[in-house]
Amino acid sequence: MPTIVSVDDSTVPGEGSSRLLLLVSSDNKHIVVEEDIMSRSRFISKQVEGFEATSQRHAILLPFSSFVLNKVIEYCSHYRGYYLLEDDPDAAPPGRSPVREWDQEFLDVDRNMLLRIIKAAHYLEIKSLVGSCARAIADMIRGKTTEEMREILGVENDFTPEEEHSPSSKCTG
Amino acid sequence: MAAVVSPPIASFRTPSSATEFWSTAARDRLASIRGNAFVRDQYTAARLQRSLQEELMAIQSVVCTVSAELNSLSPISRLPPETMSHILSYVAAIDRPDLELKPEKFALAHRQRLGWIKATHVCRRWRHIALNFTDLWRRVILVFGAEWAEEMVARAKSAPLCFTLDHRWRTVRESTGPVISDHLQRTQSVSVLHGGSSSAGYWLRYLAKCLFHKPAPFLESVEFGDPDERVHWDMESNFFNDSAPRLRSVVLRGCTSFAWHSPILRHLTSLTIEDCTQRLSFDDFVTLLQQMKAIKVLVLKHCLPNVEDTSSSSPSAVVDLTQLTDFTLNGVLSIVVRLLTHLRIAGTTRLSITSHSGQNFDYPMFVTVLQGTGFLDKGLPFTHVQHPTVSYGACLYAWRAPHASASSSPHDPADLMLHFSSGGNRIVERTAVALLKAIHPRAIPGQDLVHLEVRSYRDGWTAQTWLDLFGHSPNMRRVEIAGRPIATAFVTALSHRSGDAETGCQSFFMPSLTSLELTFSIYPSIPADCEFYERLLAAMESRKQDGVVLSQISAAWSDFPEARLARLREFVPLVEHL
Repeated sequence: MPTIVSVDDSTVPGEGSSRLLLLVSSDNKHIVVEEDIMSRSRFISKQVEGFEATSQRHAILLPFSSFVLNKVIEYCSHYRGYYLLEDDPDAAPPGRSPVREWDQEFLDVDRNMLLRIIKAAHYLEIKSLVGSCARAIADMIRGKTTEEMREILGVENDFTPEEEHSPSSKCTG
Repeated sequence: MAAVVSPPIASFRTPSSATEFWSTAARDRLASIRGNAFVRDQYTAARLQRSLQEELMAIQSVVCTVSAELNSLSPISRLPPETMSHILSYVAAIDRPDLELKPEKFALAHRQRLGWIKATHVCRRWRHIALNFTDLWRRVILVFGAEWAEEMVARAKSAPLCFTLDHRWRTVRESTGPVISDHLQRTQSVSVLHGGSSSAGYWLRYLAKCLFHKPAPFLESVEFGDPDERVHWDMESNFFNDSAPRLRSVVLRGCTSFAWHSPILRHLTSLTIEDCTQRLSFDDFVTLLQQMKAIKVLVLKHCLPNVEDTSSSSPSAVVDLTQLTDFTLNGVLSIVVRLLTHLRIAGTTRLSITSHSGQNFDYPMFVTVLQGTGFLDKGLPFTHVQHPTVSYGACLYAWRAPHASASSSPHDPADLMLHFSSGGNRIVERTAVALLKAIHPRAIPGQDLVHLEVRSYRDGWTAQTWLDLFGHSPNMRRVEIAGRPIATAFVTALSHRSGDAETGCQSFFMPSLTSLELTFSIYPSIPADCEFYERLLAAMESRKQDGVVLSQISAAWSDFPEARLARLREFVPLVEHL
């Protein structure tokens, strides 16, 4: 569960026509963002519903850095008002459709950053961003050998010799 | 030997301390073995060897533990399992086992061609997630044999199964048929491609025999036969009868003896039958269509009733197929026409006809039939007419009216695109033009046509063709033409005036034309003084004299001297290069 702290109304100018949210990153950066932009996040939407129930405004503390948060906000701003099929709860499982061109450029970051973004997207429940990141990671390891995959993803071979030659391993290649 | 006590991992501050610890531990541990390198006693040597192997396995186990600890700290390992599953789903979707590899090379490259399965070998966590993610395993591609297929089926747990079998693989043995057959009770789809090998007919017949008589309560789709290479096979069963209640989509190619009377056909939403030599009588065929109340996609190729069966003595009732969204017919055009006269189809249905008719086919009659079905009224008569004797084919693309104004009649599309990609066969082009002529007076009176796009690089059209086809297009605003011969014919027609018998007035061809775009992409080197430019200039001059001026001409004519362009600009305000 996120930590929620009470916020002074003067900090969050959210009573006007344009409702604003205060997001606080793990490095304690305060980022004010329009609620509408973040509506793609089911997590934020649920938080906002909670605010409305209690008639109190809060800042939302998030467990990732401002750098990552800003990337997520950039994504949400770009698709503000757009309907993305992947965000539909009834959307079909991922297919072979390519990553959107803008997403490709947006996710042209190093591996660790990509992993941070997908983690944040998962936390914020932004399905479309999780999907695009997952697809980008899948593209990174596509056609690679197992050893190359380990190197790309920064993972060690932790199979015991028995596991590596187990029947299930044999059946999976 | 004193037990080695590991210091807490937090005290592993530098690599040197770790090295010191493990080397000390190893030295102590192996002290009793050292110095025995020159043992001659075979028994002792074997015992020492076993001991060392045990040590090695223990060390490997420790290495694995340390690797697992290391992995737990890596960013990717900290992703939640559902996110990892998501990544694996994408990997499975985009990195499939290589089906294009030639069978003889398959065994050698086996491990390199595993596709997404390699991802399950990365580390314990990946494998654990993959093995528990049933969706990965339920799509069984039968390229690695029955044993592997059974393992996938087991991994899929209770998820519905989708089998794909490709006969190009020599690893596909007879045992793979029973794999599908044994699990048909929980199978959602079966797709069998054969690739045209000599034994393909046998395989398809064998699998059909294995499958089509068994209960398949969850089966939704069946595809048998390859779209590219035709192989004929027999179906010896009655195609499930009523034992596949959820079956909705069927594709059968090359099935010479299809069970047309199977009750399962009544429930289908999509049916594709290609190359069926066992054909129904015309009336039975129409009756069958009448029973298919749920059908939305219907593809019938080389399986329409024979000509001799189309007796007109007992006309069939008109069948309502207005629910169809896609309707593809491939066969003798006279049969197609006859069939269409017995069907009621929505004008929005995407109709595709590939005909076998000769050049002397009565196209006006065809158009009359299409009008009767309502296609022409909606402006979408057909998408494709192909002559069988040419490999290139000719495409007469759809009438399209995406920008038709609300005021225009639903009969008349405002935009028309014609594309004759005959690639050098005049018969095809003439056929298409004949068809267009037949349709044009009825379907497109021309009153509402404002935009025309034509592409052809052959000498199919003359100025008279233009006048015949579009001589009554008073509202045409823009014409885009690609191809020199057709463009030359067009500019000749632009000079033409026609008189109105009632009013006595004369008017230019396409009097409202304001914008003309010309492309001669395959004739880049037209001499600057060629006949085309002279005709264009003459047409523009005469039209200007009568106040029927074009406002814009765009053309790819880089070889045209600037002086002549300047001359043209005297009559057309905007003359530009494309």
